[in-house]
Amino acid sequence: MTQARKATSTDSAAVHHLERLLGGDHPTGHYHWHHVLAAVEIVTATKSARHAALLRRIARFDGRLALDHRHGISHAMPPEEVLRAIAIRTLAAWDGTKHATLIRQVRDHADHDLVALVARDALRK
Amino acid sequence: MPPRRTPLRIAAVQFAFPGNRAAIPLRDPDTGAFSGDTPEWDWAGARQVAAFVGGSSPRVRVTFRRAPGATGSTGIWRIGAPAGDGLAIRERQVRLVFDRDGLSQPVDFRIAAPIPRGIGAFRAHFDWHATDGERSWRLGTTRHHFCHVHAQPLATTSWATTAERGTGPHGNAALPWVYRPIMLWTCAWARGRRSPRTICDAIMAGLPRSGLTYAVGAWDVGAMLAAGGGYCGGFYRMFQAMAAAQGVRVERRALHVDWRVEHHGVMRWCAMVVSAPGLGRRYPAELPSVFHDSNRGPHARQPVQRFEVRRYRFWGHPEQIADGHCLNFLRHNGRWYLYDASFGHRAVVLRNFRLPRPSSTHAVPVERQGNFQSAYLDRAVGHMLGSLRHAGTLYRTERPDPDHPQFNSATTRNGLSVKTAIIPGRWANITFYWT
Repeated sequence: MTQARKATSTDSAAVHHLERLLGGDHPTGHYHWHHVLAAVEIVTATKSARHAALLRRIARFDGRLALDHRHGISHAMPPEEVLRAIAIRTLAAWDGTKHATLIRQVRDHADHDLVALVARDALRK
Repeated sequence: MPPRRTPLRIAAVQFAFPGNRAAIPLRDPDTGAFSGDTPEWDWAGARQVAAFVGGSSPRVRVTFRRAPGATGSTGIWRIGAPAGDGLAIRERQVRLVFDRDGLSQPVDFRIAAPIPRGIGAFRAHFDWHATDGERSWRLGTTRHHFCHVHAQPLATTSWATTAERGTGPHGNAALPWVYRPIMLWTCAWARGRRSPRTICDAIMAGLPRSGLTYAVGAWDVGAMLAAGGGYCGGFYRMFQAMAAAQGVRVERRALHVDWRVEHHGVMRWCAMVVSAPGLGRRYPAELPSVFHDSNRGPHARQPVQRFEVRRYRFWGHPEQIADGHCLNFLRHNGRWYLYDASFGHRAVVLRNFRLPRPSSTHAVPVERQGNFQSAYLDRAVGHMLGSLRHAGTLYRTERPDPDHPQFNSATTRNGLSVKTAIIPGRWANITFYWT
């Protein structure tokens, strides 16, 4: 999938879609889980200040994503928590020291095992 | 001669009050209230089940009310309830004092004989009577529904999410409690079962009767009870909560897809693919998508089979940890048993298996886990999805392109879905993050 697209695609569309999703600025059912994963994949593939800011926002997100479940959704955790785990792990890989405070906060307030574990493992590195 | 008027009545009977260790606080999933907050039985009509540890001798807290117009009710009484249909309340002497509303202070009694051992449920009634030294009075009958469990329920830390644990009954977060439907279900399904293995098997067999359905948007136990179902991230907690209600500890693990980006566009594995509908469903909840199945291996002459079909895809994330499937494990008599509550599989006996420690950084090859692949994975997860070659053609897994104007449609493309049972350990190497 993604290798070719990563090389050619600009990231602005992915960031735009994720920002709309986090802001609830879209009609219900507009986004599917696949779209979220596609956009997050692009954002996590390239380190940049803009991407880091968006991932920090995802890590702190405290709402519910309005997604259309008919095309599938995450099974092991709510989609918000899957995204949080991806965001934390990516931020830790990019600059664990810089984002340590945020990762610690996520670890201390995590509601799901995976998120807490990812944060713990990230801080341990 | 006019009949003598009974000077006392039963106002309330409470079991799960603070300090009554043999009684188990039950929680209403709709209101969040605990049974200990209010009496299980009261004269105004409350009738709630009470639960005890089997073989225990619980106390009973009773409040009396002075009959309208009755005089002389304040004072010393001998009160109890003889055995009617099995349970009796041991008689004791009490001094009753009534407030302005005509209610006495709460008085603690003890059930005369221990609650039956093991798992079960029964109905009983108490015929209350009182004597004031000269005369005897019948105070009325209270009818109750009792459950009794295998052993003291486990703390909610074993199964609940952080948010779900809350402050606990009587403000004590460490005190175990059980959702009321879970208590009723497990005491009915596992009645008479004595070992952790048979209790878990009975819970698995009973789960379809719960009415819970797979693929409902809920991921914790309380939300599942409210919504009538959930995803596997809720079901493995649900199974754990059910076992914990009977004092049985089971482990839970999520198996997360390890999406490895290899050479020349090859990626494995992008998703686990499950064809089973899940508990309470006739077909998978996901809308159909096109799959390219390889059921004979990458070099087989048999062409890839193309299907448009409903299947669940448990998506990974490239070089990351994302979604996966959630399972329970019971260690009993030196063996591991696997339970998949979401898809209703019977217990799977695992051999040469060691339960991996949770890790988000080290993926574990299934070939190192005894018969886990052949006994469970091959049957439950029919295919593993990747970007792979078959007979020289690369089948790419592609997600929607955010730059594309049609980003809002289902444009995910499945690559090659390889039958799990034919994936050999050496070249393909299915690995999972276990958390």
